[in-house]
Amino acid sequence: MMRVYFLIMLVVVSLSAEKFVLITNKDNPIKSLTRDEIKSIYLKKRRFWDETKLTALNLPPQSSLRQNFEKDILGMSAKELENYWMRQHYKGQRPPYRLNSPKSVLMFVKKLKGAIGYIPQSLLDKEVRVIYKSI
Amino acid sequence: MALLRYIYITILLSLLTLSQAGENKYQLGKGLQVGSLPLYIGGYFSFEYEHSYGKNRSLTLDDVAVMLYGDYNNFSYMIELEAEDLYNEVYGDEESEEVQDHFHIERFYVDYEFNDRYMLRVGKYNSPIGFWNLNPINVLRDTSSSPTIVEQLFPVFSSGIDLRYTQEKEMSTTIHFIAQENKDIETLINDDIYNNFDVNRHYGAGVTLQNDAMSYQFSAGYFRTLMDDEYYYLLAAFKYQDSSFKLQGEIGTQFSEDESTIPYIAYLQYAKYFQEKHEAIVRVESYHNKIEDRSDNFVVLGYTYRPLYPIALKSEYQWHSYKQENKLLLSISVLF
Repeated sequence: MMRVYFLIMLVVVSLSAEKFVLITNKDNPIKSLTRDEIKSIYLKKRRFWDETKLTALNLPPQSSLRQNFEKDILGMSAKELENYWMRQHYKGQRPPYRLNSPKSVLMFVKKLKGAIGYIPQSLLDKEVRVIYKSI
Repeated sequence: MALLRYIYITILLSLLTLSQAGENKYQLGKGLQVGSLPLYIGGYFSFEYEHSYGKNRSLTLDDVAVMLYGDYNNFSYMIELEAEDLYNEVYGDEESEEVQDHFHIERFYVDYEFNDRYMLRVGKYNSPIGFWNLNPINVLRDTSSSPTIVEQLFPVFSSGIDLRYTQEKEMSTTIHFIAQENKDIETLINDDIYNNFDVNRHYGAGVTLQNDAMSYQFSAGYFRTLMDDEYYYLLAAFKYQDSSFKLQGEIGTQFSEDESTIPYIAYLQYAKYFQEKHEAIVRVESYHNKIEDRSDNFVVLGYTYRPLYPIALKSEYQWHSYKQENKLLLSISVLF
C-alpha cells in the first residue's frame, strides 16, 4: 500500500514540476543547443559561441525552476556544484550571473546578445529565441 | 614581526573587500567582488605539521596567498601572490625558527579568448601538464603532499605564452602549446625564482580528452635550466571520477641528449568519498631519478575531512622503501 502511495506521489510531483525553456537574444547566432552544450556553457567550460561572448544567467538557489534546470541539464547535486565553483574560484572563474526573477532573466536576455537564461514556458514571448525546451 | 605584518595585510585586504562588497554576500571559498568592478579577491592558506622518522618535528605556515582576478570582454587576468613557508619552526631546535619576508609571484597572466576555440595566455601560469599540477594548492588537493612526479619531471610554472585550442563535442578536446624563451617573471622583482626548476626556456604541448567521467592527458616538452642543462619529458595521465570515488594516475619519463635522466616516475591513486565530507586516499608511487641517484617506492595513506568544502583537515602517512623517509603529515588548509 505504501509503495502505491509513494508511486502516486512521485507521479504527482513529476507532473507538477515547472517546465522551463532556455532562451537567448534574437541576435545570438545560437539556434538550438543540446544538453551537453548547455552544461558546458553553464559550467563556463565554453564561454564563447563563435565570436559571441556568452553570459549564462541563473536564478537564486532556492528557485524551483533552477533546481529543475540543474537536475535536468547539469546532472549535479547542489553540493557538487558548490564544490565545482570553489575549484573554479582558484582558476579565476565565477559561477553564472544571478538574477532574482524569471522576469529579470527575460529582460536581460532581450538586451544582451550573448545572454542565455531559463524561464517558465508561461513567460515566453516572441522577442526572444527558444534554444531548448525541457521535456 | 614579518609574519604579523602579512597576517595584518591579509586581514586588512579582506575587511576592505568586505566593506566594498555592496550587495554581494560573502561565502567562504568563493571570494568576493570588489564593488561592481571586474575584480574578485580571494586566497588560501595552510598549516602543516610534519613528523619524519628519526628526525625533528616541524610546524609550517606553508602557504599564504592572495588572488586577484576578473574579466572584461575577451580579456581576463589572474594575479596570485604567495608567501611559501612563511613561518617554520622545528621543535627541539631553538635556532630553527624561520620567517620568509616576501611574497612570490605564483601566477600573473592575462588571457585573451579569440572565440570558442582559441585562447592565448601571456604571463606566468601553472604548466598545463598532467592533472595534479592544475589543482596544486593544499586545500584543493586530495592529500597534503603532492606526488613526486609534479616536483621532478617538468617545470611546475611557465613564464611565457600558452596557446589553447578547445573543441567541445561528445568528448571535449583541449590542446595546449607552451612557449617560454625568457627567465621567470619572478626575476623582475627578486632573485629567488619560485619554481621547481630555474628555467629560461620551456616548450611543450599537451592534449586532454574528456567526457563526463573519464579524462586522458598526454604531454611532451623540452626545457633548459639556467645552468644550461637541457631535458625532455613525456607524460601520460588518466582520471576517472564519479560521485563516490576517483581513480587517477600519471606516468612519465625524462631524458637529456645523452641519457635517460628519469627512466620512470609514476603514481596511481584511489580516493573514496563517503558521507559527503570524508575522503580516504591510497596512493602508490615509484621513481628512479639518475641525476639524484635515487629510487623509491612508497605508499601514501591519507584521510581528509572537510567540515565545509573550502576547509580541509588532512592526515597522511608515507611508507617509503627508505625507512628514514617515512613521515606523518597533518594539515589544515582554507580557501577564502
